[in-house]
Amino acid sequence: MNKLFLVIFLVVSQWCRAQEFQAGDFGILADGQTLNTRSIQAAIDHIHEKGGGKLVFSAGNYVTGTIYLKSNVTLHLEEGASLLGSNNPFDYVKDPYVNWQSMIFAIKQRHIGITGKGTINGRGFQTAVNAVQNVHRGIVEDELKLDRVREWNRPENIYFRECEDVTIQDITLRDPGSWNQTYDQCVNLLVERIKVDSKSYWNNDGIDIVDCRNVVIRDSYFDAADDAICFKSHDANAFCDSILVENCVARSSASALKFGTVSRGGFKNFVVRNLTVYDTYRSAITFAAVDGGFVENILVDGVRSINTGNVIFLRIGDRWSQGKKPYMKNITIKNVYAEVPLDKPDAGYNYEGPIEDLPRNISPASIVGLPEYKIENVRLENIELVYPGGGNPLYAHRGTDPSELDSIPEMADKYPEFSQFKELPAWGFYIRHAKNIDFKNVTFKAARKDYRPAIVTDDLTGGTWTGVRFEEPQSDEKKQYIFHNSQNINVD
Amino acid sequence: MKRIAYLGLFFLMAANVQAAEYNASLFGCKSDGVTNNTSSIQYAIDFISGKGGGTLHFYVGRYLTGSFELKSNVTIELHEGAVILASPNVYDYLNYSGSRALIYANGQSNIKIQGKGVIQGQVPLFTANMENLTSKGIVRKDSQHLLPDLIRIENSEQVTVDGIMLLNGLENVQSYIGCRQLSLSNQIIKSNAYGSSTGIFLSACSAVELRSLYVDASGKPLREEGKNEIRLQENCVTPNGKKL
Repeated sequence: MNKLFLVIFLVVSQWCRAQEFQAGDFGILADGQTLNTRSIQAAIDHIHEKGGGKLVFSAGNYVTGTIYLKSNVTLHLEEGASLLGSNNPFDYVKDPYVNWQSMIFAIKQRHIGITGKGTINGRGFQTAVNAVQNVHRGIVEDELKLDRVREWNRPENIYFRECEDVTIQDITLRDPGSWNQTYDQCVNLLVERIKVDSKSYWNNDGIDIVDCRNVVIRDSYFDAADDAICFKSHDANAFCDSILVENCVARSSASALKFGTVSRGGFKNFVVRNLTVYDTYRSAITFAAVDGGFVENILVDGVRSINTGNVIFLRIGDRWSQGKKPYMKNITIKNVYAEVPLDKPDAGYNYEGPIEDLPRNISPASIVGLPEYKIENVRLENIELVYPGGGNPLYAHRGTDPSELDSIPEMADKYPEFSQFKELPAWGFYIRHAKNIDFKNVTFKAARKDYRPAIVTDDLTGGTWTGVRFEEPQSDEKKQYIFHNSQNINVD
Repeated sequence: MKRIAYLGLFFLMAANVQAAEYNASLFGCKSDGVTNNTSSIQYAIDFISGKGGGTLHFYVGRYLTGSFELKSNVTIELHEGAVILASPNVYDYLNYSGSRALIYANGQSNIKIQGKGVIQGQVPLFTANMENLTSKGIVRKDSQHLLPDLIRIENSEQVTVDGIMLLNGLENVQSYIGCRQLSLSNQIIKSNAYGSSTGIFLSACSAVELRSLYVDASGKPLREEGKNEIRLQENCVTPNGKKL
């Protein structure tokens, strides 16, 4: 009997201790030159077969191509340890199951992680440039859309698919050739205290969570060329569910917090708390349902958005819906302070966002549905939006006559972006095709006089607006809101 | 038979005239805003011109460069989001007949810059570098002639700059001297970072057409020298609603 206890004790303690294995013991070299792909894979396979444990990389530079992480194995990068991506595009596998390239894959594995204060640096700029030249040489096929290799033909740093119990802690992620990290249809994902510093090439998203359930992202920092904290839904029969994002800082040359663009299934039950956004080119918050997906039960509480081009952009579109009906409802955004600059917010960062959709004065925040798909039940509470104002009608003009408001294109099948309509008729908020939009204690400030009113609604039914205030120089007589085709809005 | 021969000849000629399309990446241009692409861009233009002409396409991205010269029958197409970014280093600019420019041409015909893209100067950085050089006595104080234009075209014909946004020039955003059949259209010019910046400088040009220009410049929107024949000016305004 005692013997049995002893055996159980030994097994359990062994399992809890997460046995450590040193990378050096597998002949993995930290010289910054040797391609370690095969050795790292052998180490992972070995640890996996032994029942699991940690593969520890001590300080040094470890060059690698594609490796596959397996169940019960954690890669632990000690401070000063860097996994460096090979610059040879042929060192990366395009995994046939996910049809994408990555440095670190995990597919259908459980209880895995990447931890430690070390770095994963994809060195993706040079790899992407080399990939373009392979296409020009005629040895790799790619359409070279926008003169670059498509994003699935460039390596990410991390791509996990259908994994369970995933821990990503303390690491720094840098410069992949594509997105930084994708977690696709994973369950129980914890991401904490990580740093993403990645402005090296197109599509450098900070983090992409695709159709995952039970996710926590907290105490993390994202500085990325493309969307910083991004949720997607690739599968029409799956969706992102039960997600907490808290105490994060985001800087992006696209959007800081984004749902979409690919939005086939949907997004529900989100809490986002204490988000700081700065020097961000597009929107602090973009929720897009443009491919038939839904957005539902979302609470955003506490946003500080400084020097960011746009504050809120909620959009229903009809791009790749294939008959599926999109909806967006029950969204609360509260306790927001935002400053929108006159000049380009991300000037000076590598891979600045593209100057586009001009001529256009400063764009307002917007909620834009479609005539057949309204955005419903949005509550905006305790919000202060500070704009530069100064919209000049000679530069770009959109009046508030019914005919001019009706002339704003729907752009249902276009890529959703706050700037897509070019000039909009309001400087603060534009709402179209929506139901029950409530404002409570919302202040709009313009530093200089703008030719437009602060708010324009078009096809809005229902809403209670209390404590909505406007500050704009030389505008005492100006009517700050225009209701077009709108009804049952109670303003007091 | 003769007919077929003519037809064949026609197709051959048509194929010959048909402009070829080239991506900037083919010549190693990098869109990171950091790599200096001068040599690649110049090689591309010379190459395309040598093949009888064509279009060099720049897609979204920021292409840092110093001076390069346009050649006959070459079109620079800046797609939406593409930025030709002027180097802040004065030594990256060549001295062309006493003047400097980011994009220069002399004695060429049928040259075009078109698209929704941007040509952007880096004025605060450039002037800071100049001040540094003057303070060390390396560059003389009266060094105005060193200030590059974003575009300077001399003695050329069939010159078109269509749809481009021009940002932050120095003394002259764009200069055209002794050009014939010059068409500037659909441009947005914003140049307020330098003390007195001229939007468009024209000297001894004929058959000039100005269409749909929005010129927001700290100096004159349009400055003329000598005799110019402006055949058409329509829908050209400053931020105050004045004509050029």
